[in-house]
Amino acid sequence: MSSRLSLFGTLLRKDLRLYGIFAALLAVLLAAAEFPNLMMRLGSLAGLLQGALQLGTMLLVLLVMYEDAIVSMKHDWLTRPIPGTTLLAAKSAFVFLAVIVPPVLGSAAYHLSQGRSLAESALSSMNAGDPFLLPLIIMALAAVTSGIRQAIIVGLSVIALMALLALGVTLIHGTVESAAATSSGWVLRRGMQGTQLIASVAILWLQYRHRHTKAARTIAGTAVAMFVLLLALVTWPVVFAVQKSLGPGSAAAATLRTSLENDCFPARRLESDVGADAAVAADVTAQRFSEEHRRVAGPGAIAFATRLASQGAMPGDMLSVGHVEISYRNAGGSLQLRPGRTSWQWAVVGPDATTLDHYWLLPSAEYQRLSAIQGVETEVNYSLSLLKPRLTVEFMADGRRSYYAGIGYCGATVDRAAATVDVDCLVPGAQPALLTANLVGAPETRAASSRPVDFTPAVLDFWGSTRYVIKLPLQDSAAAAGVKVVTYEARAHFDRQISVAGVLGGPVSACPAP
Amino acid sequence: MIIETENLTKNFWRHDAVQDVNLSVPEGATCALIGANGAGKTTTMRMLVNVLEPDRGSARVLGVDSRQLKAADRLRIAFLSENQELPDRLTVAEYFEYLRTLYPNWDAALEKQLRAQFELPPTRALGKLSHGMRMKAMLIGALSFRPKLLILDEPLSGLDPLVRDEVMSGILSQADETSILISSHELSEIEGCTTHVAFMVHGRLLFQQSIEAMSGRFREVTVTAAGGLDRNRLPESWLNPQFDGSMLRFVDAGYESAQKLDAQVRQRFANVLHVESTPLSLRDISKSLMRATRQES
Repeated sequence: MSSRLSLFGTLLRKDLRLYGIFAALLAVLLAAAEFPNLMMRLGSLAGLLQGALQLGTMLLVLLVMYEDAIVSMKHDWLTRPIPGTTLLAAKSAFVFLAVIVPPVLGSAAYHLSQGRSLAESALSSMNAGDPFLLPLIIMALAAVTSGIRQAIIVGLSVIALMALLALGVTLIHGTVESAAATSSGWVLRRGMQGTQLIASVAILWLQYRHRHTKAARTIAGTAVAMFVLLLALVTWPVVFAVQKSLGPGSAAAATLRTSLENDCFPARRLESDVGADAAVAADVTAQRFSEEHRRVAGPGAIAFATRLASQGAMPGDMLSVGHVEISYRNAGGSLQLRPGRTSWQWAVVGPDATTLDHYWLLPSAEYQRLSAIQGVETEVNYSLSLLKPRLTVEFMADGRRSYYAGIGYCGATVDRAAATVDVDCLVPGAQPALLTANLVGAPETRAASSRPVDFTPAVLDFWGSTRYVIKLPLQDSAAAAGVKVVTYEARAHFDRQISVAGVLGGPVSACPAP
Repeated sequence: MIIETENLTKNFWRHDAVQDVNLSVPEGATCALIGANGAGKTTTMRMLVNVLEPDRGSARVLGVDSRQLKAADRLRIAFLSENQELPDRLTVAEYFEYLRTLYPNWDAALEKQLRAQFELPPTRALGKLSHGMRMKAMLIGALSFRPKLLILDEPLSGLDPLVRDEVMSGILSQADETSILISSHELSEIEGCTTHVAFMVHGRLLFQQSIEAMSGRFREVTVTAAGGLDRNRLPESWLNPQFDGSMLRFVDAGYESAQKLDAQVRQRFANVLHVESTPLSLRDISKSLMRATRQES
């Protein structure tokens, strides 16, 4: 054991001797990049620096790995008394010290400089940089290639392959909305991260324990294929099905009644000029649609809104819309529309009616086609989640920060010039599905958050911390502000399907196109 | 046996690099592994030190299956190759400092002696050393832990005569306590220390035997006759025959005695006036074999 340790030290010292200066320079820059005020001073150069740091990190990891290349028949270490696992441990330690530790220290230093406690600074720093996955993937890449040139070729080929496959999927299925950025997107994100993690660890283990290059390369290829398949095939229905199977059942949502408000959907036509927004009325504004949405919908597209009304929930609960989709159905017609934006949507619900609006674009030609079909029906499919409050804390916006068990470090300050109360909470480890802040006494509809609803299970969310920075409008600038922070967890995940006749909320004769 | 292989085989795509090689090197021997470029010498050596895994067959080195060689076994095996990749940015002194900590059996006095003998500049980076200096540094790295087995792949390639002598003297200084397997095209340099020879052709081991036995069975033969010589009646063991009027020159790879050779020659040719046979150096034997195999292929 002690000889292994001594060997580990020897190998680490050798790499530090060879790449110490490069590593030190990179470490300083990685640490400095954790100071937002410093980066802001750099202006547009900050982006350039971030890119250079990414490239520098990758280059350093590759250089250190190739110094004692595993895919080689010529390297000196291969015939020396060096066990592969000890070499891997030394390389990992170097990468840890050179690439992972500096941003963590930089971030901790920054938070200390901002007057945070040592404990809070340490917790804040756990999210610094790109902790483990990227260096691990680069190490695995170096373990299946014989040099930097080969690594670049392989890396670029993988990127090109993924782009080609993504293009192929788009051509076949149309634009596929990524499920990764939704409240249940953790299924996809963690699936991809898990694939990368398991494949990287397996590759490194196989190579440094057994030098099975062929097997390691097979794993690398399989992982890339799986990654692409996950991206292409794990769409919203799959993600939400997984979420429902793992989360609380839908029974708690049985009392919740949902319906579509309005007999006819409020609708306006976009002007023929794709870029023109002015013609669209305030309630169905073009700003709700991205340039891409409008370009795809084409000139003369009809913008309309649907309003989901819900009643009968438990007081204080939240309703979160994970996904909503409109389909038009009849004997032969089938068209799916997706709204401009859903993933951030949540609202406090209670026994009284609460509404959630969604905005859609229907291409003019499609409207013509659908409206000509006898008995056409509009079907709106909602993937919903009910959230229940877990913890509530109240404190004064007096600038003091305190630790609240189950939440983390929170504090708030009043910015009288901006007429806001700035709430800042650092939540370590597993995150609540939602954290909201509101002024004490303000209507619940004014609760705000800085992070979308996210149902990542605690077991997959143990590392790091998340900072919530929420600005609440100060109603009475003279009054002392009390702040209420509430965390939520999932009560139920469920689907609702609502059908109405016609295209725009009723038969074409009753609800014609604008 | 310090090295023993059984049907050792390695293929690269469709190329048979090494085919069913059964090599045996006795303990204490200095075995020259010879053959033309591409004969499979380097691949065989790489399999012996488990840098390459055989596709078939096995190799036992110091009694251990080459695929099972552990760090502890490598404390007793040194491998040196002309195209070995070193940590080029380390200086000579740093490289030896690094190696010293890898080997508990490192002989610092021997290292010091060899470094003084080879006059290596301690502060120069390995990557900036000349080829000869680099080979010397590698040799010190291979000898200073007093390995039981030294495997040298073309250690003299590209070296000037002076450096070749220095490197050879370094190798010879260890020959008493180390078994050596050496591949080299500089056969005249290694002949003096070679006790055994193994000859490889197109990935196969053509033969292996002691240097005495091999020297004994190879002779350069000159036959002088009164008239013309019939070209179609030569046995297979007569390599590279060259006819020049009434004279024939060849290498006899199955020489046993002058009388037997004389009888063989006279049995095949009429009017033989004179049969003269002279011993061959390892270099000339190797050249004859290579030429013969090239003609065959």
